[in-house]
Amino acid sequence: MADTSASSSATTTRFTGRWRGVVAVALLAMAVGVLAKRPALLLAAGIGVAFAAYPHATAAPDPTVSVTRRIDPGSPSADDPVTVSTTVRNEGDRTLFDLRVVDGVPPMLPVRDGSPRLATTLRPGGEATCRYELRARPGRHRFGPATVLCRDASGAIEVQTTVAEPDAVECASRLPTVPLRARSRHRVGPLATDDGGSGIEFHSVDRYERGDPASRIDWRRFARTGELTAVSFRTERHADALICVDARPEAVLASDATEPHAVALTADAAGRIGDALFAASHRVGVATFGRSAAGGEGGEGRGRGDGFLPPGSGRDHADRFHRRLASGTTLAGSPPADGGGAASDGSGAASDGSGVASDGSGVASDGSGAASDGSGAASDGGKTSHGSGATGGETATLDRRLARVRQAIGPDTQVFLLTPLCDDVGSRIAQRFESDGVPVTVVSPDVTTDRTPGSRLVRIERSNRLTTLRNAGIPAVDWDPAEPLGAALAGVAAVERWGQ
Amino acid sequence: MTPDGGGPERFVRRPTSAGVVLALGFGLLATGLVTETAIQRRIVATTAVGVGMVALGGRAWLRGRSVVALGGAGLALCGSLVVAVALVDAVLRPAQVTHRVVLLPGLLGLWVLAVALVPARFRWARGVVDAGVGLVFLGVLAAGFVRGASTTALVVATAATVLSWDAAENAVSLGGQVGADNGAATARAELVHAGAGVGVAAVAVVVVLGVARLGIDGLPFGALVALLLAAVAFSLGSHR
Repeated sequence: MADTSASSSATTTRFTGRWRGVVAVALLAMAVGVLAKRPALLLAAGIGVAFAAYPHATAAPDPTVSVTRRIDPGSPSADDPVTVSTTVRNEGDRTLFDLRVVDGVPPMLPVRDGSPRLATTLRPGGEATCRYELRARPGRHRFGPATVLCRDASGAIEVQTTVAEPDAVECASRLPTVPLRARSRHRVGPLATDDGGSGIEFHSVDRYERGDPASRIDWRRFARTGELTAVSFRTERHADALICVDARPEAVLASDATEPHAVALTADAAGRIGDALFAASHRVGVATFGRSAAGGEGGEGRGRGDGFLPPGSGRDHADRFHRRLASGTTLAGSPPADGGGAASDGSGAASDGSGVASDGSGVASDGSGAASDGSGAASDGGKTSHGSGATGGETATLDRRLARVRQAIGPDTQVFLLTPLCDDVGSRIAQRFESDGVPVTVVSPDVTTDRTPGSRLVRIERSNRLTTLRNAGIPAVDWDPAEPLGAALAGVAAVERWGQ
Repeated sequence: MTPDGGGPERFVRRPTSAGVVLALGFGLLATGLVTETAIQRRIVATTAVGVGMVALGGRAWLRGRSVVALGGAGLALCGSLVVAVALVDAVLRPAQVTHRVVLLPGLLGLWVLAVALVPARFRWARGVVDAGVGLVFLGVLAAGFVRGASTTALVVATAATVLSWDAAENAVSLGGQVGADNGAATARAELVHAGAGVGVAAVAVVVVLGVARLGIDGLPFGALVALLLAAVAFSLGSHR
């Protein structure tokens, strides 16, 4: 269960500058001392000078630490509590005076009890443990790298690094069915189409034509009426599927500080839909609309580089699929978070100042329990105005990116779009694909709440977008994250079949 | 900055408890050292009780649910009242004006510091800490100005003021990165940090008082100032 690794990477050193103000103290004491001719105050200023020199007396710490996790149980069933004990060990030969560790809790698993953070002092070879409890959700959840912050004794230098530790919590989750849309390319596979031909399920009876296989002739009818007819069956084909994930910073919204945010939900759903499609031997690819979608050209290039994988099949391709998905949906090093641990649900409120005034009051009325609750709702509201007021430049960038994805995929590929639909961009992507003749299925986790007027408005807007999509003939799965994804998908599959 | 582990957790940012206790303790020490009369000391003791009530009640208010929170808010309010009474006492009771001037900023600063460490908004905590400790330091300066305290008391009080700020800032920083709730233990790191600070302060006090014993009274005042300025420039030279 527990294995160790001390692979540190991406170490940054920064000066906190916290002792800079003490010079002002020294100078103030000195000034008063000089003006009032009080030698005692000059001596007091000497104390300030000593503290101003303090940070120079300490060396930058070199955190060489290893992280070990004990996960119990390692393979829980859904909603079971999972106890995680993370032990940090100082592998270096110098004392780490101020070591702060934040464990890389899987983004989908809410922390129910305890804290995945700790701060301590570690002698060489010393250990410290933090214990916390997660609630299991279906799927395979990898622990992220633990963030390690180490300050020297004075606190003037802060070294940040990460310690990767490939642990995972496995919670059984197979998606029973994935609703594919009827069009696909001409390769035999498990997708039942409306074309007649060879297969299992009855499709139609036609007049026999020269060249039809003799085994398909309906001999009983020939015996009864003397007419040669051929039975054809539904042709079963393979599908090419491209799974698109809306991982824009605007989509990082959570219904609550303790719930996973929409990007984590969509990334998880994308992985499981991909697995189910791979298992049915379809060809699957992935495209993530990440930081790049609204960003500049440079960011876009990078987004394309690590966020797109054309459909393919095979074990290697499945591995590549999961890697691309993970890299495309992981938020950059330090997320735009401001409002609390729930990775950045406060980001919107903080970053785009266009938050609606009514949401602001929502936060205030909501702020009693946990301040970050309200910020999630507020960012919802912020998103709304942001989305509807999307500038032409942003739209153009998105269009370019969509056109490129469109070029890269074959003519018979269908698209699964995973988006929280909290702004118009998600539904615009779906409609753009559909109008280009690419069949789209939208899977949308519902992260809205009804706690504040602002968030109720967002909820209504989201349901309007769902309705718009459905009216345009796009199957849209409204997935409540509290419910299993399989059930939500099965519901749409039934509607689809009925609709045909 | 906020390092983020990724997983959703109810993470409430709040200055850590051990740091609050240390900061208030050092602040009280600084204010107490520059007092001269028994009346002043009694007023400082009253303030200590009030400030303690504010800190304790404020934390209960933020952490608890309904009843505990209400009790905490009540306690914090009572503590503030006690501090207010001490302030009125400080204005009226001491016989000399200088005694009042020395006491007032310190008491007010302690109350501000206690409020800063029970912040309504975490983002403001640092600014309010600076304001509170600044007021305490103003009291120490005033004592030096009116010759209200011995040289030793003044030097030690300055060191205590700096240590108080150090502990408070560290509590805010730890509270922002690691959090003060859910059993995230931080006391060890904070005690070690404060211990290192006390060590530096002790050395500084000994050196400064040693310099004072050398008989600098004979030294021209300007020379002393120039020396100190040189020391400041030196420490700013490679600033961190």
